[in-house]
Amino acid sequence: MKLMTLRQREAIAGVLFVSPQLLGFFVFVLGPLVAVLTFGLFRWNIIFGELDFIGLSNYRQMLGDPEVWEVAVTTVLFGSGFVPLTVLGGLGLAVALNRQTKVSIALRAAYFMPVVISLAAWTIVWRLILQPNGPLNALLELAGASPIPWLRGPTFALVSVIAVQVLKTLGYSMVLFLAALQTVPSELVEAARVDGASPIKSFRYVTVPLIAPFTFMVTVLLTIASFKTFALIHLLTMGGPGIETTVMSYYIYVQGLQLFDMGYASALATVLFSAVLALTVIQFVLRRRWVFEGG
Amino acid sequence: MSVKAPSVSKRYRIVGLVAILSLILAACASEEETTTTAAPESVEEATTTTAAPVTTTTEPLPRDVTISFQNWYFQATMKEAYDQYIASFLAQNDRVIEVAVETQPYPRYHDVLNVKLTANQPPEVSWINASVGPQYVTSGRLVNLLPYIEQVEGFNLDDFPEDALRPWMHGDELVALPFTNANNVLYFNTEIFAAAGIPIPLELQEQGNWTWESLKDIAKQLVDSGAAEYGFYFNNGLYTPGWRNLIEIYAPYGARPWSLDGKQCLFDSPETIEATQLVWDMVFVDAAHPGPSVAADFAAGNIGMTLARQNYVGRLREVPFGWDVTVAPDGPAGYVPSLAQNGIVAWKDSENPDLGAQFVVHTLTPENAAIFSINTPSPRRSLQNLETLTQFPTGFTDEQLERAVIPSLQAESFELEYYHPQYAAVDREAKVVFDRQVWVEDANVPEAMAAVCSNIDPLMTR
Amino acid sequence: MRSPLTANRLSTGRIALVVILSIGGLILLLPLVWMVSSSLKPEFDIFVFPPEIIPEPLFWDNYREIFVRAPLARQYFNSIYIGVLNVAGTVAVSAMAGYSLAKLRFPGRFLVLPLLLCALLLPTEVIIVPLYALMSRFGWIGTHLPLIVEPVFGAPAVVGTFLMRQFFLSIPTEIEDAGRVDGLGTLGVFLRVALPLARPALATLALLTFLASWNAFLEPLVFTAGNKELLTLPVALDQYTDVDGTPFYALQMASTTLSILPVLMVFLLAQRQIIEGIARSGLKG
Repeated sequence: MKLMTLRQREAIAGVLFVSPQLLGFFVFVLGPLVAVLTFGLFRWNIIFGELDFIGLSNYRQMLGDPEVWEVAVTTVLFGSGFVPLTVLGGLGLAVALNRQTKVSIALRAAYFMPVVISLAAWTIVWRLILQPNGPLNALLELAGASPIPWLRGPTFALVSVIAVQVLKTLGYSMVLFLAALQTVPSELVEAARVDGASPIKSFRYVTVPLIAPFTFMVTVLLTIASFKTFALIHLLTMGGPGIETTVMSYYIYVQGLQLFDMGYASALATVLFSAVLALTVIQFVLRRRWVFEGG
Repeated sequence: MSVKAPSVSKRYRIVGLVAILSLILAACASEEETTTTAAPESVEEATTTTAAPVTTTTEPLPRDVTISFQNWYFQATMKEAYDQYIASFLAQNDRVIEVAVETQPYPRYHDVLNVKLTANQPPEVSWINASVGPQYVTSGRLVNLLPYIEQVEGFNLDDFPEDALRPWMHGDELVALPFTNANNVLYFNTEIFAAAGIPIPLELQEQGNWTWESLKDIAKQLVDSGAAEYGFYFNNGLYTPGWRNLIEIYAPYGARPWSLDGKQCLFDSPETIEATQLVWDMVFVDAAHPGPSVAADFAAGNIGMTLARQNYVGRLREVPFGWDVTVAPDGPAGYVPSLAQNGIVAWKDSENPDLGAQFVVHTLTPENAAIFSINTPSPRRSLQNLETLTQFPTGFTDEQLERAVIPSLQAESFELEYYHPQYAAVDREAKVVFDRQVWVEDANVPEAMAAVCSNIDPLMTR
Repeated sequence: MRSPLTANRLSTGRIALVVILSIGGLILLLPLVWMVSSSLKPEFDIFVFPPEIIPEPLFWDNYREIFVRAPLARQYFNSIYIGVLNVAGTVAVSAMAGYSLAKLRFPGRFLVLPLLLCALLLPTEVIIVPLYALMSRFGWIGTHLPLIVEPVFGAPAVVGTFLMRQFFLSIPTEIEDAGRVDGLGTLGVFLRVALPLARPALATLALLTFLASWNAFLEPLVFTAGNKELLTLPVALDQYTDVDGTPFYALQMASTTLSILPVLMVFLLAQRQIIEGIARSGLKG
C-alpha cells in the first residue's frame, strides 16, 4: 500500500517535472512542425498568397529534380566530413588539455574562442584568408605549391566550408568532452596504469567505455547540427559556386523565402526531417551495441 | 539503469497519453490552417474595401493609427529625408499619430518581408527592389496608387518618364512609385595613373575614345606597369550578387539578358556574348579585374578604376590618395547608362492600407522628391538637373556633378535594372551557370551563354 | 614510482603536443587578431593587403561611431538580459525535465524523449514562418517575449534536457537512495542531492545556453520587426551597412569585438565553475 503511493507520487512528480518542457514543445515545436507537414501538400506561392491542395505533387516534383539529389549528396558529404572530424578532434583536444596547468587552460580558451566569435565575423575573416590572393595561398606558394581556389573550386569549396565549420565547432565538442572526462574516476585510470596498461590502452579500455554515453550524445547533437547548417553557407558561399555547397536546409530556405514556393519548401523540409529522424533512431538503436551507460 | 516492461495497466495509460497527444496535435494543425488559409480571403476583402480611397467620413476618427514602414536603410541622409516626410505627413494627416520605421539590412530585407507576407502580416508601407519588384507587382497584394495620386494637387505623374513607371504597372494600376534613381559613376585613382604614366580617362574622353575597349586596354596597362594590383573593378559585384551587374556593360553594347517583355532569353545573342567575353578576358586573360571570391575595394588604393554607385563617394571622403570621376564608357550602342529605381509600395493586407498609400504618395510629391536628391537623384525629370543637385551636399564638386552624374540622368536612352516576373528563379538559374561555366579559367563564353538560355528558357514562357 | 626515463620521454612527447596544439590555437586566434586589428583601422584600410596587424596610428573613431549610428548600448543590454533569462529559464526547465526522464518512473516516459528529440531535428529556418504566425497571434511580434519564451520552453531547451538526462543517468541511484533513506521526497532528492551533483553539467548547460542566446540570429532578425531599440547584438552587428547592404567592415569589427568580450568572460568563469563543481561534487568517489 505504502509502496503504491510512493510510486504514484513519483509518477506525478515525473509528469510535473517534465511538463513545462513538454508544453513548450507542443506549442513551439509540434505546432509549427504539423504546419510544415501540412503545407507540404499544398502549392503555396507566398507572394500571391494562394493555397491550393495538390496532394503529393510536391514530392513527385522532388523525385524528378536532379538538383534535389545533388543537394542531398552535398548534405550527406558535408555531414560525413563535419561530424567525425569534430567528434574526434574535440575528444582529442579534451584528452590533451584535461589538466589544470596554465598552458592547458590557455589553450582551451584559444580553441574555444571560435565558438564565442559571432559566425558573421568568423566567416568574413575566413573568406579573406581563403581568397585566391589570400594568406593561405601565399603560404602554399612559399612552399612551392600552386594556389588553390578554396571557395570556388567544386571540391575545394565544400572542403573549405566543412573545415571552417569544424574549426568553429571544435571548441564546443571539446567542452562537452572535458565535462565527460571529469566523470571518469581517476582511480580507475590509475588502477589500470598500476596494472601495467599503457596510457593508450587505459584510454581505450577504461576512459572510452566510461564516456561512451557522452560520445553518443555529442555525435547525435553534431549530426543534427550538421543537417541544420545554414548560416555558415549563407554567409560564406551563398551555396555556390553553382550549387556545390548548397545543403538541404539552405536549399529549403532558398525555395521557400527566395523563390516563394513555400509548399515545395515544406515538402523538402518534411523529407529532411524524416531523414534526420530516421538517422537519429538508427543511432539510438546502434547505441546499445557500443554504449555502456553504467548502473 | 532499470528498464522494465510496463505493466498492463500502464500500457493503457500509454494509450491514453498517445490519444491526448494526437488530440493536441490535431488542435495545433487546425490552428495553423486557419491562420494561413485566411490569406486569400482577406486579399479579396482588401481589394473590395480599398478600391477607392475612402477619405470622406462624416465623423472625425480618433488620431490613433501607427503605420509601419519597412526599409533597408535608415541612416544619415536617408533618415534626414524621411524624417522630414514623416513630420509633414503627421502635420497634415489627422489619423496617423506615428510612422514606425523598421529597418532590415538589404541582404536579408526581402526574406524578412516575405516571412511577414507569408504570415499575412505585411507592413503598411515598404520599399521593394527594382529587380525583384515585378514579382510583387503581379501579386495583387499592392494598393493601386493612382486614386491617391489624383487626390494630391500638383503631383504631376507625367514628370516620371514612362519607362520608369512601366515596371510598376499592373494592368491599369500603378502599384508602386520609383523613389531612387541610382546611377553609376566611374571613379579613378589619379595617383595610380600618374605612377603608370598613362593618360587618365578624361583625356581619352576628349579624344572621343572613351569606350569599354579602351577601358580594358588601360586596365591591363595599369596592372602590367605594376602601378595597380587591379586595373578595373565592378564595385557592385560580378560574382555576388551575380551576373546582374553586367548591365553596366550590357547596356552600352545593346545587349540584354532577356527581351523587355520577359519572354525570350537573350543571353546567347551576339551582343551579350561579346560584352561578356570582354569582361571575361579582363578577368582571366589580362588579370586586370579581381577574380571570383577576391575581396577588393577601390578605397584600399590599389585599384585603378571602378564603376560604382554615385553614393560610393561617401567612402572616399578620407582616403589618402587622389581620385576623380567621369561617366561610364561607351559601347557600340553609344553611351547608355544603367539606373536602379527601387519602388515604394503600400500593402493591401496591412491594417491601414488606405493611410499607407497616402504616405507613399506623400513621399514623392515634387517638393519631397526634391529633398531626396540628398541621397540619389530623383526619378522625376524636372529634378534631374544641376540646379537641384547642387543644393545638396552630394560629395562631388559642381564640375564633377556636371561631368559624371548629369549625363547619366539626361541620356537619351537608359537601361533600368533588369526585372522579370520570375526574377528570383531566373536569377538563380543564370547564376548557377555563370558560376560553373563563365567564371572559370577554361570558359567557353558562347557555349556558356547558350547553356544559360537553355536553363532559363522554361521560365521565359510563363 | 615511474622510472625517470619514462617520465622524461613522456614530458618530451608532452612538449611536442603542447607545441603543436599551440600552433593550432594561434591559427584559431588569427581571425580574432584580424578582427581587433580591423576595428582599429579606417574603413578604406581594411582590404589593404598584406594587412598591418597593429595599425599605425590606432584609429579609435570606429568605437565612437558605432554608438552614434545605432543604440548599441541598449542593444547590448538587450542581449545580456535576454541571455540571462534564457539561462535561468533553460536551466530550470531542462534540469527538471532531464531529471524526470532519467530517474523518475511515470507512464509514457519512454515516449517523451524520442518525441522531444524531434525538436532538435528541425532547422529554425524551416519553421520560422509558422512560428512567426504563432507569435503574431500571441501579439508578441515587436517584443522580446519570443526571444525568451520560445528558447526556454521550445526546441533550444531540448538540447539542455537531453544533456541533463544523460548526466543524471550517470549518477548512481545509490546516492539518491541514501537521500531517500534520510527522509527526503522526490523534490527534496532532486534539489538537495541530484542538483548539487549536477553542477558541472549545469555550468556547461548555462554556458551553452548563453552562447546560443547570445549568437541567435534569425529569431531576433524576424521577431523584433526591425525595431532598433529591440535588436540583439548579432543582428545589430549587421546593421552597419551602406544603403545597398555593403558592410562597413571596420564598424562591424569594432562592434563585434565589443560583443565577444562578455562571452569570453562567461566562458572563463564557467570553466572555473565546472572545475570547482567537479572537485566538490563527490562524483569521484
